[in-house]
Amino acid sequence: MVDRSASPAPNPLPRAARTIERPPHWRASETGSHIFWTSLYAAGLPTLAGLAFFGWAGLWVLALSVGSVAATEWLFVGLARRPSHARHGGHQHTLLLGLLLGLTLPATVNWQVVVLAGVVTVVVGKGLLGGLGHYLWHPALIGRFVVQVLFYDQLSPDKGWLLLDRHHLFFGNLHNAAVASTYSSWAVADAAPGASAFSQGYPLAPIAEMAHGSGQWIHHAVAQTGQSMHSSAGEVLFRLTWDRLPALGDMIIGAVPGNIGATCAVALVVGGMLLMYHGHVRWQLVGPFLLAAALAAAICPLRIAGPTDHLSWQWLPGFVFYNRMPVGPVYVAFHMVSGELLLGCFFFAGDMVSRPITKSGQVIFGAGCGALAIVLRLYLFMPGGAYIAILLMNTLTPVIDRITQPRAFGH
Amino acid sequence: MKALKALFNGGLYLPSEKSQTLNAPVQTAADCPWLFVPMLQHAGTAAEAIVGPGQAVLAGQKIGQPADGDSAAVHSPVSGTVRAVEEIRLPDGTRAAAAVIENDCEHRPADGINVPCEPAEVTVTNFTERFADWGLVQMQANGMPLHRRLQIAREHNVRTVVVNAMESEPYLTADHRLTVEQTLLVALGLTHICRLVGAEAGIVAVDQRRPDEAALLDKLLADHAEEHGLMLEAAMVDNRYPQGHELMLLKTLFDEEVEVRLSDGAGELASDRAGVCVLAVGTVAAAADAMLFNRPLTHRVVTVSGEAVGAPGNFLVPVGMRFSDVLDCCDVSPTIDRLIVGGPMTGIAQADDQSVFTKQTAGLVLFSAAMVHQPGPCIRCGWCVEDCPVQINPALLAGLAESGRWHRGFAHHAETCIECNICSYVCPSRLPLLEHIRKLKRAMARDQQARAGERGPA
Ligand code: SF4
Ligand code: SF4
Repeated sequence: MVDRSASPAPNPLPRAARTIERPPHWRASETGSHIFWTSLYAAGLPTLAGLAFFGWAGLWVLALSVGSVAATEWLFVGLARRPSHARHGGHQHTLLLGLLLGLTLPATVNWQVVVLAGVVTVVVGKGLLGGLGHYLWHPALIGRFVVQVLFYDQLSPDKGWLLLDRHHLFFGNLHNAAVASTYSSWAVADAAPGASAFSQGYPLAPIAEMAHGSGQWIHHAVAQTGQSMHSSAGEVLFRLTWDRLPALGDMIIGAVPGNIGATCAVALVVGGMLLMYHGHVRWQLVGPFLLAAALAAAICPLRIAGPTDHLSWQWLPGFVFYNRMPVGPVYVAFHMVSGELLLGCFFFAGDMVSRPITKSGQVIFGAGCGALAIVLRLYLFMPGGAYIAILLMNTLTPVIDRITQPRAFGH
Repeated sequence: MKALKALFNGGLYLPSEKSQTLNAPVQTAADCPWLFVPMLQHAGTAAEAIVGPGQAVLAGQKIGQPADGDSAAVHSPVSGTVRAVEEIRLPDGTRAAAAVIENDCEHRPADGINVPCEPAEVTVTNFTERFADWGLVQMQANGMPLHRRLQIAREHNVRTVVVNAMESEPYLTADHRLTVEQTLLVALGLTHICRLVGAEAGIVAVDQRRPDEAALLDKLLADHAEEHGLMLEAAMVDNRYPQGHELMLLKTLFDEEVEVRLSDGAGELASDRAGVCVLAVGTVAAAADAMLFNRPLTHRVVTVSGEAVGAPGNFLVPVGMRFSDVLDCCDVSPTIDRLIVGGPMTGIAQADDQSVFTKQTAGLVLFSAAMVHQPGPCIRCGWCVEDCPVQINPALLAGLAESGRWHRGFAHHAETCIECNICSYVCPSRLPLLEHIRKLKRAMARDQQARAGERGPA
């Protein structure tokens, strides 16, 4: 207020403004909570697909996961007194972490595993590593990684993997499962009488078997052809893609066993597009991620049985043709539509806090994640190669940030 | 006439919000009974008041004498009586002496004012005194006295003078109205300023959404170009904010960049080093007015707009008029959340409407709806980096400022910041990023001074 008590000029009653703030005096509409809400509703699509294929069991795991994350967060915030966790979308971020964590777990895990993963996610992944905006690794992936190491059998590819049949979507009992005697594709198969679900092998297991040279069927493939004990790469890949892997269509719609949110390629891609449409995930990350993954899949060698059962490395499997059938490209397609890769790409690699901040950094980061995801999937047999790849690349984020500062005007 | 795409990286198309006042002709503000004419309406030294209480003044009479080379004169916009010289608060928060004038509403002009004169009388040798005497100052940006500004341009041998009619802040339309209604004045002002600084070309940068304005200007400029042997033209420029900043104009018009120094403040004056001098359209028109009609700078066009204003418009106001006197005729809503001098991106919020218009006030924007901007933690969305027009990393710089590691600001080119405020605008965590960067720049400047001091005596 101006003191004009001594002034000769009359001093009218001023109009006072309520807010005196530094500029800018208006802001773009998007806030932290908008960003996390958008991620939540984008993640709703794979969630829906997961509920369809895994029913009540899936819902139970998701609810446990969200519940344990939210409860731990509440306790942690209460104990550690970190109000910044709660402000600016902190609540939505908590829900999102819980949901994403649940989506990376199979519907058949024990409740203890889910709760432990939730607690680790919040306490270690988010809380101890700096909280919202500061954590280096994606908290949900930390939670998942820890339970994967501690409870390997629960998430291992060797156990039976379950999937509801087409007559029992959403409401079927996943545990009432039987191995189907004949099964060509989910869309035409029926569960055994009295059962509501199929029990199957882990869908991508044959690919890893081939990379390790461990599957018996590789040798059988050779024996069946009988010709001079020479199996061509094309033949083996043909066996792989046509006989051993699920139907490609099943993979795309998500009708394969797996982690709750990581089976339905369509839902993940549509959800990812939503995130990209809102500008929360940039194509500079998604493009290199998928491209690098496809390239890695096309290049990284598989083991092919040669004469006298000797296994040799077959490089460039993605370019192999067999009787003019594009078995190589189809093999790459299997890699690309696997939900874990897509979930990792859009929802975990795309997480703002743990990816590099500049677009050029995101190109490097995305490409690194994509290529590593395929390499880990092939040679380190543990499901969830993409998740581990993203954790590894998260570690490099500060370095990438440092080397990709934009060029300042005039410099 | 060229139509140019914005060549700089980053930037944003902001909501323009100009439609309410874009086509509203400039009205002369109603006479107000009291004026408080500040002696400091420019960057530099305040003028010395040469009138005292009880003294009668005429419109256009000089009431403040330039104190030194960094100062400009101040004139009374009206005729009346000086009642006091007292300290008042200026819109930017500083305090300065002001002559309190009781307006007699008779508008009696001082001798020799408002008479046609020969602009050629202002020459390279005498423009410094003449311009300072007319009180000509930059009516935007840093508000440096115009003669100082042109001296700097001469020192750098600028080849082109650019008149900035972009007005990239939302809501403001004063420059647009001025250009449309006083086109000839703008063209003549540019011609003479080119002559004074020795430039061979002049360009008026117009928002590409106003082709009529650009066409009119282009025609008038073409008429004067031959006569003075200059290359004059209008250019329609993309309206991506902050295209109106001189460095962005330099980039878009000439595809040139120049390193910004800490001493450039918000990047002003940096373009001179690339041979381009950028002046606001209001400044150029005021200079023409002075040279052609011997009118000192006493009035300016302002926009009053914003969602709290029922009757927005463009007004010709005398400097020293209180905001309240204009707002009284604008049907302002009874509750005001923000009263902003300038636009919403960089303008300064006022506590009340008791401050006065100065030569730099481009307009008043009033909002009634409350907006709460509570900052949260940076979530590394990267939008501030993507949208920063000079491609620095505001999130990182803000972090440096907060943790006091200002010495690292040099490596990350904090001095390049042109203070456009886009970073704070887009930040979803509502962080006051520009505030932090300003703090960083101040610390860096102190450091530079200290080091220069160490080196000096040695
Ligand atoms: S850092 Fe400076 S130049 Fe960049 S967006 Fe922020 S205010 Fe504008
Ligand atoms: S815009 Fe705000 S939240 Fe996003 S990176 Fe910049 S400072 Fe962080």
